[in-house]
Amino acid sequence: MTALDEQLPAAGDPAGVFIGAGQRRSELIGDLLAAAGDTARPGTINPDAFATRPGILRRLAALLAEDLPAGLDRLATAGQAGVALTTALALHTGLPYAVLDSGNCAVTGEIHHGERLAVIDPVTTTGARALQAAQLARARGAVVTGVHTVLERGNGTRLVISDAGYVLHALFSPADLAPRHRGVTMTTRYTAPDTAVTAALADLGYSADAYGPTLNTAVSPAEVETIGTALAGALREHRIEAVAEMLEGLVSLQPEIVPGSRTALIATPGLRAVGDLPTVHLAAEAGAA
Amino acid sequence: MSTMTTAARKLGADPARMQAHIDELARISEPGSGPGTTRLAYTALERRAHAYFTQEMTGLGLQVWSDEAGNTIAERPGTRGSFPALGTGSHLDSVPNAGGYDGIAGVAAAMETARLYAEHDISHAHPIRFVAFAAEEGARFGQACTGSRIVAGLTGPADLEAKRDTHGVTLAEAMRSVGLEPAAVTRARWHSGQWAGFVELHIEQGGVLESASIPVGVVDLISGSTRLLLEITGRASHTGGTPMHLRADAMTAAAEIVLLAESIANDSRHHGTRISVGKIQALPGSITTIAGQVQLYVDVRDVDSDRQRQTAAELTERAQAVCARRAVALSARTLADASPVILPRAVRDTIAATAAGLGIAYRVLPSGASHDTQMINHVTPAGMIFVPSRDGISHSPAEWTSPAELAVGTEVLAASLLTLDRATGPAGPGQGTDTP
Repeated sequence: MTALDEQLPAAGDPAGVFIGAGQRRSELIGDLLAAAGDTARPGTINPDAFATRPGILRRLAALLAEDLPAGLDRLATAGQAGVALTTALALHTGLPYAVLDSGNCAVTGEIHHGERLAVIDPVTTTGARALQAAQLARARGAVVTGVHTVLERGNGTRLVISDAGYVLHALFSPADLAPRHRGVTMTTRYTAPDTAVTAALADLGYSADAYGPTLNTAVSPAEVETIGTALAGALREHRIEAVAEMLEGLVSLQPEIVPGSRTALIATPGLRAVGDLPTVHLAAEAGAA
Repeated sequence: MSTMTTAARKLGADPARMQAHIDELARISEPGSGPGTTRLAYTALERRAHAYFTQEMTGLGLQVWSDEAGNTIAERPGTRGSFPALGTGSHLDSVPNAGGYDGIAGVAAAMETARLYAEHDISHAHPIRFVAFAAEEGARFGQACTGSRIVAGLTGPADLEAKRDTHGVTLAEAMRSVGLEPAAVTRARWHSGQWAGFVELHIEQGGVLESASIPVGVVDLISGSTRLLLEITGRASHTGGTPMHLRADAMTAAAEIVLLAESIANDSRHHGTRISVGKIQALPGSITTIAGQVQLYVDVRDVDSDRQRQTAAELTERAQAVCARRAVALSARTLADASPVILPRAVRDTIAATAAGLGIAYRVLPSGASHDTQMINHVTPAGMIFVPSRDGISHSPAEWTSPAELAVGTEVLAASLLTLDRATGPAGPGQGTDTP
């Protein structure tokens, strides 16, 4: 058992002495989903449902604070949605904050010329709200160091924000929130694909041999879509390691998807053998991407 | 002909029948163990209680089996065989000199629910499983919820060799003594894809429901617990011969630390935190010797995960300052640590809506104690129903919930499972269903 009186004085973060970072992160995800998850819309959380809970705000503030740069003068958030989270972060860090109303070009609080400022957005979907806040802050003469969010939902959010010249830091993506505990099962490559899959592969110009692991979740079609979308996003951006991470512990890709492979995701109504549940099939063919 | 219902209705839970279960199980107790019921984890007596459950459920025509961890499960088939199961249940083991309701109330509620479904010929799409968990109480081996931890994959064969009771018997040895093989427990694991939800009925073990005169609690949070051993070392010496200003008294330092713990829990930053020192040992333990060593066993409970650990850290650091000022030494060790958990909103809202639909008043509240539900929540969305505890007493023969209160809680349990069944497809709560 740990000798607390020795470990605590050296520890910057007391909670870390009792519980590892990985476990802390997965418990936070569990609590976020429990408190603010929408089972009809997996892959998203409702900021109002978690922003009223100090037990969650405290942990989110600690994690967000780790990504803030040194030499920051102020935090800012767009509208009421982010106020609770930004307040929690302000109390954790000691940084003052401003609330930006892009519609009226109004600022609650202060922004001074030349200040280094970080934009806080609880859940970022299109990135529009965060971007408007950043632009308003810049118009007031601040230097925006980046945009920080708990959940980055949209596929292209990072690009929208980076195209405008800002860096997005997200604690979680929809794949992190995909309820893994729902028993995602995979069939192996050796199960013969049904006619719907081979027909779809042919339509896409793949050979039937390209058929790979099948992703079948014992949950709703919406969740299959979320996981499929997350996989598609990772594949599109050539982030094979992200695909491997998402599928870790569920299936090994046989053969592995190598750089230069063409990949396809096919959704079908499902195979009778697994309870008529919707299915996503991953196909990969080595060759020109 | 099966009965289809679209709205929640009372099924007529029978207080007398539930009291009969409570009384029957209370009698299964260690002879000569003193007041109340003593039926410890992985003893022959615990197995007898499980046999009673098996007999009752078999009598209702359910398929019943025991798993490698000693949990007993009875299943009522659903109309859609491929659907994952809904579940309910609690534990049958007790602390020493316990009352008759802690855990037993939930198993009695499960038995009564199964009987009501049979009597009314209720059909449900999902299979429904009624569970009696093994070894929930941490009293014997220092680990709570062993049966449910095993099915949740949180405890494995290696952990079972590490825990011992006060006689030096390991958890593994105790399991073997009742015919269970610790190395096989991984086979008992529940797979998330095979479960749709779980609801446990339990006594509140606190006074909130009684003081508000509300019959049902719906649990939103389960407290976490960080347990510490604080060891203060001074200098044992003669009580008469040693002048007050030449002492290194471990007992007075300990006293200051105990009151410090109380003051931290009561301060403005700690609404929802509870700190207790339930056990103190002083050495050499003689009326004529200044204590040279004192051990304080501290339990920090909280609903806020980071604050719980920060509080344990603060107590340790401020205790060190107390000891430094008093010229005694402090060492601190973590004995156990578990995070609080938020229970899924969807299940909680379903239970609350069901109670409201039945015209039964309820209060949403946290659980200060840990329960099997906390472990099952790792596998499938889980919720808890509380029934009142008279005077808030538990872990004592004075523990009491009236038969009428047990029956009201069981109505909510039975109806909630059916609401979850209707509201849930092959997925989890909140998903649509295509049942006919």
